[in-house]
Amino acid sequence: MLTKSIFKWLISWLLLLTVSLGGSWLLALQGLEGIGQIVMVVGLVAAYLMFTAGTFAQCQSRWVLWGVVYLGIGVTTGAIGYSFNISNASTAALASLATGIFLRAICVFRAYETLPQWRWSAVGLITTVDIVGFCWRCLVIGYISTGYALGGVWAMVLAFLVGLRLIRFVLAPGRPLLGIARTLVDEAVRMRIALVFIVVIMLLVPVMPYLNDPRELLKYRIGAFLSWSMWVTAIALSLMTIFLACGTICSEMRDRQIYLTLSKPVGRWQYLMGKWVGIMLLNMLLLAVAGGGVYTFSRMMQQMRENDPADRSAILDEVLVARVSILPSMPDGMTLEDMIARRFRNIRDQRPDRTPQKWTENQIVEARTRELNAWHTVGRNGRQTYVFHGLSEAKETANTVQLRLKTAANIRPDSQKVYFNMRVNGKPYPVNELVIDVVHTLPIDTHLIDDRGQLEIVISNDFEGSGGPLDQETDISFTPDEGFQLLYRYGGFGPNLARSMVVLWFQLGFLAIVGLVAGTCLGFPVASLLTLVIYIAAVTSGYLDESISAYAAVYGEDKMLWDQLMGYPKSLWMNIKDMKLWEAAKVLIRLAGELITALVPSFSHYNPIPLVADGRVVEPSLVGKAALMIGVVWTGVIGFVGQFIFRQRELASVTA
Amino acid sequence: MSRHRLIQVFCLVAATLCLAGAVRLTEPINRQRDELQLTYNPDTGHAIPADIALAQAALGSFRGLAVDFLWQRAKQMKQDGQYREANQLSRWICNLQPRFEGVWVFHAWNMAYNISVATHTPEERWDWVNKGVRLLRGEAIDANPNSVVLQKELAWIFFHKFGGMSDDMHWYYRRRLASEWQAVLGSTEGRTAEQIIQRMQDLVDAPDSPEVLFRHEDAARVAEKITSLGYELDGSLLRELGRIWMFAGSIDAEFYGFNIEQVSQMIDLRIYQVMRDKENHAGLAKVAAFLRKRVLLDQYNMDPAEMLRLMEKFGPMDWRHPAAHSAYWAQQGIQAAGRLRDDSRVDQINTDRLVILSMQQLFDTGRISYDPVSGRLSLLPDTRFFDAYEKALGFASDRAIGTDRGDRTLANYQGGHENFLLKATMYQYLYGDEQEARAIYEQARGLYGNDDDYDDRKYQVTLTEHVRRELGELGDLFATRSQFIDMLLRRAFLEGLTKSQPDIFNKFLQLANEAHRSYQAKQVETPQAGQARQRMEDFPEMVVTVYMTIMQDPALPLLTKGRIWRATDPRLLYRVYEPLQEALYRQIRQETEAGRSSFDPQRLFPRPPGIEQKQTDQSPSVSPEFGETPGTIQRQ
Repeated sequence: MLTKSIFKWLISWLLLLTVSLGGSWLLALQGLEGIGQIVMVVGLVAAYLMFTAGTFAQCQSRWVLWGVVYLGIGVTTGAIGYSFNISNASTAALASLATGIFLRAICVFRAYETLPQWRWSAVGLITTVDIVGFCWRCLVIGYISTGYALGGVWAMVLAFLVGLRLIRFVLAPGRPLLGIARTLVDEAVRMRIALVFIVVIMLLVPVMPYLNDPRELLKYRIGAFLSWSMWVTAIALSLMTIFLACGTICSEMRDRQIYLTLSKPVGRWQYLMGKWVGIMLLNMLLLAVAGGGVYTFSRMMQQMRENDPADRSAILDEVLVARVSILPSMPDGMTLEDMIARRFRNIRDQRPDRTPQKWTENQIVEARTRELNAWHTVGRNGRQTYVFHGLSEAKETANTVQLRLKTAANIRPDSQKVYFNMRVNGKPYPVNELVIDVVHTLPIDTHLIDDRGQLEIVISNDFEGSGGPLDQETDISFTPDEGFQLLYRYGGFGPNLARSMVVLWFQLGFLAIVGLVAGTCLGFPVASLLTLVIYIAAVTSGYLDESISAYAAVYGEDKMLWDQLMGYPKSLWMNIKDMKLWEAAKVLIRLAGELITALVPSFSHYNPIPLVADGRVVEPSLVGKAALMIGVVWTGVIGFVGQFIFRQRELASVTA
Repeated sequence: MSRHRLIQVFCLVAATLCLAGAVRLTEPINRQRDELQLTYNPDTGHAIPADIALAQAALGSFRGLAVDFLWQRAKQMKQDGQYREANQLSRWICNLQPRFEGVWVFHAWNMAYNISVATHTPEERWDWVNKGVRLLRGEAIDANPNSVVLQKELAWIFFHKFGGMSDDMHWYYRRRLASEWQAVLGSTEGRTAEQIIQRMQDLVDAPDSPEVLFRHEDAARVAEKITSLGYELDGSLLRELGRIWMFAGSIDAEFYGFNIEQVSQMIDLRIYQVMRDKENHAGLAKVAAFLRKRVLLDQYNMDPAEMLRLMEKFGPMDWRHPAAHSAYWAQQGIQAAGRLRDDSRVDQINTDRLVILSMQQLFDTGRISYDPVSGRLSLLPDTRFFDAYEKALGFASDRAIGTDRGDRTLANYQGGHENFLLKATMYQYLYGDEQEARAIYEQARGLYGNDDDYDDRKYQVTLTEHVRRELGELGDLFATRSQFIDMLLRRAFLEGLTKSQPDIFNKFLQLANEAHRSYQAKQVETPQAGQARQRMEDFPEMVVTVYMTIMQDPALPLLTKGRIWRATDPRLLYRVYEPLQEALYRQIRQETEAGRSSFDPQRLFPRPPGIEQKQTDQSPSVSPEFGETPGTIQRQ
């Protein structure tokens, strides 16, 4: 029955609605569209609040109540969005719709208060429908990047939630180790600091593709996206792992929860291992979600408009690909060993009396270096031939292979440039001027590869006396290895990315065990700081090695290991003898630095990120080495030591 | 009151007084800092964008560390030959220290000069050079509007990288620049100096905002039609309009047998339909002027009023030419230096010199002919910039007098001036104005002929002998050789055909052909890409280009053109008749309307006999036969 009070309320409500909409319309007719818009928005919100309040006053069923709120929010934000849309205020319209989605998600969450087991599923399902509609709307009205980025964020969140359920399911069997792992996963979701890093990954990966300057070459945009998104993932997960690993044990010790756990039939090694397994499963899930995001978005970027056909070709041949690099061989079956033997023979022939019976290892290394450099040098008016083998597959699967060159000149030209002529399998290949000491990449069409899968590259330096700007009087040399190599397609981008994620996972495993072990014997601030320092040292190990080497000179650096080791006391003694005390101190500092870097694994040796971003293959051997060195040796040793320390530790003592 | 309390009170009072004094002094100190230009004043320049300001504030004292990290990464990646992040890293580094001019200059230079030459496709090189330009012209000058060094560096990149020949892909850069600016400002080909300057005046007078634009009924109508097609009134619309104008006006499209519908993949035919409607023409002109003004101000950071001032000062410069831009930015640098209180640290001499050099470059190569369909670009001497050079030299000399190194600078200027005069003598002589050439030669002789320091034997010869010597000193450089060929061809047409003297025509054509052949022969001796890109277009194409340029020159009398037409080989006429007919007939109409002459178009420029037969052949490619052999005309 329609009571009098309900009737009054309904009339007032209709009046409010009519006044606000009518007023808005009249104002718009007068040309005051902006003010009309405000009047309408205020009126609609007030009408909605009034309607909701009335419903709450009259109805006691929670489902009806929240249903009304849900629908009311939908209608109101939809109407506001629509009005903004017809006024060409698309951003405001989208903001209105987004607010509606957020408020409706809260409604659903509150409505399912009595059914907690379905709560998140309901929110996820209903919000997914909302988000899909919202993204579609964004795409229709031209907010392409917003649509895709938001869709990506939501897809990653959903994948994470589904993955989390899967992990819980896997860890369901009632074994102590799995139980502890499962508790840790739940704790990670509850722990705000861990959640922050998870949110960072899920927000940044989908947004990053659209942060680059659209005028940039597409190959650079994709490369930068790969690099930065993987760095963000690696750093965020590393920090999450450190804080989670240190935090979980320290907080349980601080709150004495650990007494409860360890008073049950759970061994201390099981406790530590359970925590580690939990972190590793969580990391596996997050790496899978982030890797999926990186893969999907890089493929989506591939569909974006390129700047020119060469840009498109480069994406397929140089970026979204796994390329392997090979070094050249000498022509006519010659080998470097033959060259070294010939060199020794010549020395023996010229100076038989001063030639030793047996060449030392250092002499062989020196001879090898000299021969390699000589072969990589094209003298004035001379030529050199380099042969690359095993390119049959590349000929079939790719458009180009890439020759990477880094040139140097013994007489540095003023222009800092050198010229040479190049022939590829007998055909002239046009080469522009090459700036010295810079890496150049020259694409070579795969149709130039012969049927045996070979490329013969002849470089001739015959510009001396040519007159004009091309006249050059210098030898041209290439840095052996990195300064003369050929890159070609070896495999697809997807498996390469997957392998890189696996390597990152091993690194996270090491950090997890360090964090856990530190947590067993130190307080949270100290434990996390220590783990953080170890992480930074591991990540920057390559840079540290380089810096330490440049900081102080030591005898025997390019010699065999024993000579290198003996170089320290020798350098120290020589500096002290010459009264160069500061230099002697620097040698000691270098030694200390070397020892510290030796105490942490070198993540930079197993860093897959630059490889993936550069379209280089993350070789299975690298994954294997990372698994062995970081996953087994370092993690195993730290875990074993940690377990030993933890077992010795007295967690509680009986006091009188 | 105890002694301690007394001391405390005394200290408190003293501290309060000091604080009050400091507060009082703050304002005058700040004012003085502004007056002495010791600090950046946001009121007189652009403030830092909000996102950058936020990033700076968020980083706080870690900003230095962040900059160090970014520098390290940028350097490492460059060493490894990785350039994917170079642009982004450069921008971040610069934006974290936006008032540090040297950082902007370094990164712009790095991209334009170092990274660009490490890449090996013209598109990619252009991209990097352009990034360097954009960095300076956009954010750098925005953040430091009074910086002389930034404007000078920008001018230098235009002058040297685009206009010079140090980079073997300079030709591609010029083509892209011509294409970009033709889409933005249109072509100047076939327009008089007054028309070109008037067009810039129209831009200056164009509305500043859409609201003002819409007050014009016809403009509002056109704008509404265009926006209803999904366009905004912004740079992308201007470029779309520009593309259509470029393709519609393409002469080479006719050669290739294209029409505008056939290039529909490159243009929006809906806009084309709007542009074709004659009712829209007046409105479209206003919309285009508005868009051009906004694009210059917002995207290129260039002020149309300043551009106009420069053109009024020096001449009708073509903004498709790099030297026009170098002159603009160098001039902006000079003006910025004038605003500085302490200009002793400013490299004013080099900034001045850049204006002079730009004028010289415009004199050498300022006459542009660009066709977007074939990508054909001709840069030929523009003798109108002779006076501009003299003016620029005069301004620079005035500024140099009285400075520390004034005498040395003036001596340098004079050396350059003498060389310029001698080259100008040759150009004027070869382009047919012998009287002007003689006057310049006399000027050079008068100024420098008696100078003991100079070898004045060169002034003891006749004009003809001097030109012969100068020609002998022409190198094998692409630009000088192509200018030389252009001059010879012009002489052939203007003296040989105008006066119906086949001997003269054949002589100059023969000379031009030989010069072309010898240049091309040297280029193929070594299969080297840098040289391959400097190959000239085929000789018949050059003949056609020069012929078209002459016949479209509005300054050349119709009667002279008619004489040339009559004497032209029919095979050449088949090639040029369709594209030239409209331009020639238009000139006749204009002159008739102005009452200057009254010609029957059919009589002055008759249809070449047998052209119908040629047209039915429908050969879309450019015929290679014409001009291969000289001596192809007969006295008529």
